[in-house]
Amino acid sequence: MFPEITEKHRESFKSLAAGWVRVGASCVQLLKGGQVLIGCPNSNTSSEPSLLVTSLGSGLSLQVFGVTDMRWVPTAESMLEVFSTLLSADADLDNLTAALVETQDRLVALYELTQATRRTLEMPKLLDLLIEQSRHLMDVDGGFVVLKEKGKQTIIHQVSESPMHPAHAEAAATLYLRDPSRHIFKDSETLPANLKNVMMVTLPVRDEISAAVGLFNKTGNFTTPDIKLAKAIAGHIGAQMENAMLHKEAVERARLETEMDIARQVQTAILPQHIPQVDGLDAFATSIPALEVGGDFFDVIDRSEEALVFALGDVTGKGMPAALLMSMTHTIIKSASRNMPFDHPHQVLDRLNHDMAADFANVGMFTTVMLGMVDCADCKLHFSNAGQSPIYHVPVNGEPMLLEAQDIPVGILDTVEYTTQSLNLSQGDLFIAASDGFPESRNPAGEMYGYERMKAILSTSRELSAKQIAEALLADVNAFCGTHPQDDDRTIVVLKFEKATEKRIMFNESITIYANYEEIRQPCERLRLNLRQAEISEEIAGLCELSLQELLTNLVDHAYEGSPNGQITVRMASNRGQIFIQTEDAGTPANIKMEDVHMPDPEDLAEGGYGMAIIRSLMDDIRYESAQGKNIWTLVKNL
Amino acid sequence: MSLEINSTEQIIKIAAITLKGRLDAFEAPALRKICDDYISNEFSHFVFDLTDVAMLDSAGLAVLVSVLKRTRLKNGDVRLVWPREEAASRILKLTKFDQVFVSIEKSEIVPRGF
Repeated sequence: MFPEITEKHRESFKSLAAGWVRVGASCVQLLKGGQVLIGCPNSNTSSEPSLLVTSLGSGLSLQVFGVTDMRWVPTAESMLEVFSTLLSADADLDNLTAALVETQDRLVALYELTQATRRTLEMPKLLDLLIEQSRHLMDVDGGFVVLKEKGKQTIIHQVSESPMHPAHAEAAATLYLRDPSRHIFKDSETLPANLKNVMMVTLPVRDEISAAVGLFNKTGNFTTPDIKLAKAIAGHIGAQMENAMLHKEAVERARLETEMDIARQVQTAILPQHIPQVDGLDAFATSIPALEVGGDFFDVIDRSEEALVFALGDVTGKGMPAALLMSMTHTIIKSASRNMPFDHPHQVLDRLNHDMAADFANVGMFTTVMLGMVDCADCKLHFSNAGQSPIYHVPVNGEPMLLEAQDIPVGILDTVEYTTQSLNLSQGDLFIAASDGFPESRNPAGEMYGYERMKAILSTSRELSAKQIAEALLADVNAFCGTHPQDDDRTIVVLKFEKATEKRIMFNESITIYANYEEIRQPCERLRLNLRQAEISEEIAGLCELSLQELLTNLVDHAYEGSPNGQITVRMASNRGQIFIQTEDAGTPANIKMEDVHMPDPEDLAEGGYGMAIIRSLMDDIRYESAQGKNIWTLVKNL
Repeated sequence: MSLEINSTEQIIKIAAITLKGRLDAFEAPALRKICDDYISNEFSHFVFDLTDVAMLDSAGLAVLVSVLKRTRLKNGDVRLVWPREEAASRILKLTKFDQVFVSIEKSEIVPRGF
């Protein structure tokens, strides 16, 4: 680099040169590397130089023509010295100014970077900013970021007009991360042909992530200040990335927690709190939900006839979508089974599939479900299985048998026709329906619990009660899994057939009447008579009759509003434990919540509003369902 | 000084109604009609003899409450002879009207009722 000769230098040189002319010199020149920087008076270089002095420090020379007297050498040397000092001071000043400008520039850029990062919490944008700013400040062709996390795919982010091969970027990062004290790699080493130089610094994000920033092809070479600057930028962006990750995680966690909470509440709310018991059958069912709620559901429904309906299913997926579909599925099964105008379980599944296929298809989900109906009077179990597994029948004198599902899950094809299978039951037979959360449970080594272990436990615990069998199985799965967390819901229904008691049904009758005050007396009197014949106390008989009378009056007044063509079917039945009274009408659905019904204060002398309150105070259970144009009230009185 | 006599006369009309059988939603309108007639003929006091009522429901009760409400406006009252059957008295207890209606013995029916 040649020092710049300014006008001021020229003036000084001229006046000094004038002195030389006076002592006989024809020309004086200042040179650097053989080139003339300045000469005075306008040079005549034809004659031989007489005096030549050179300054080793600055590389400058002074040449005087026409003077040979060696006494002038020191004078020439001092003149050269003056100019060397002058030029070098100027150069220093220039450098200093340039450095100041650059520092200023970098500070401004860092400030801008801070401002820009504050506005974004998006990872790719942050990485873009990181590389863009580094490029801008360090005059490099391009840059890249490599993020490595154990068990995850390595992320390579690049900003460059001529991007690096991702493999090269990764190789550079690997090389650097092995020895992070070495930041600069030059062409002579292992760099690919198109790379002149690369500088690597660490991007401090979090311990489990190894990350590095690379910048390549700087004009000139990377310097120690570059490393410092790159580290400062990387440090800032790293902290912001950490914030971004924490923010993203917090948002995600909050969303998941809310969703999981709701899903869990839905699931808990719809699963039955107690399992109804019927004569001749020991039934138990339970569901242990996983932390991340699956879509398991079950239900056990007693009917006024000597039958018990049970269902167990598993909606694919987890969380909110599964919970919503599960609750819809559960409701349809419940109402279809409880008011079963259907004699066979497959009819319930047909209806479920018909009603829900479109909803399931819309979200790409489906449900496995097994629906069974135990007829204790006939000692038969009828069931329909849409893809549910495992289902075991353990005959009293035989080994547990796995019953394969005969039909495909619900919600896949709306044209499927489900089928019903029947089993003859003997005293001591076991029937177990479970969700795949049992056989597919894993231990810390990744092994599955499997069907064989399940079969073995069923075989050894067969003498126990239904509840104890379920508990034994749950305990065995828990012991097997050890510290491995529960991945999926575990749901089970256990039925154990016992000897049916004699003459369980005391009466079971159905009467259809027109909805008017006169005809409603028939079922009331019929009920009274049936209860009397069943040797049930006058007290109970009277309050059952009053309840039915009040319910029917209500239906005449409200469901049919006095319309004479309305019909009501009244079913009445009793076993040793309970009296069931059920009405079915096709009038206006009731808009009443039993828990909001209270007895009016007699002092108010209200002329109505007593009916439902009376029923509520007399009956043990009141249920109401309205579906497909039919309204069904069920009153239960425990004996 | 001769005796000064001031007299006023008050006629209290008391209806004594004896019921037998089922007093339910089907029968209630007939009873209501009879009571309406009495009330429009200025009867302010009613005695219902429920001794032989086999069954009483909320529609039947509503008639008794309606009569009580209207007679009270005329400073009248309603008294009941308690039913023998639990099926009839149950609703009076459930609704706590046993604490609102005054009950009397069968032997106290008119004229000694008031």
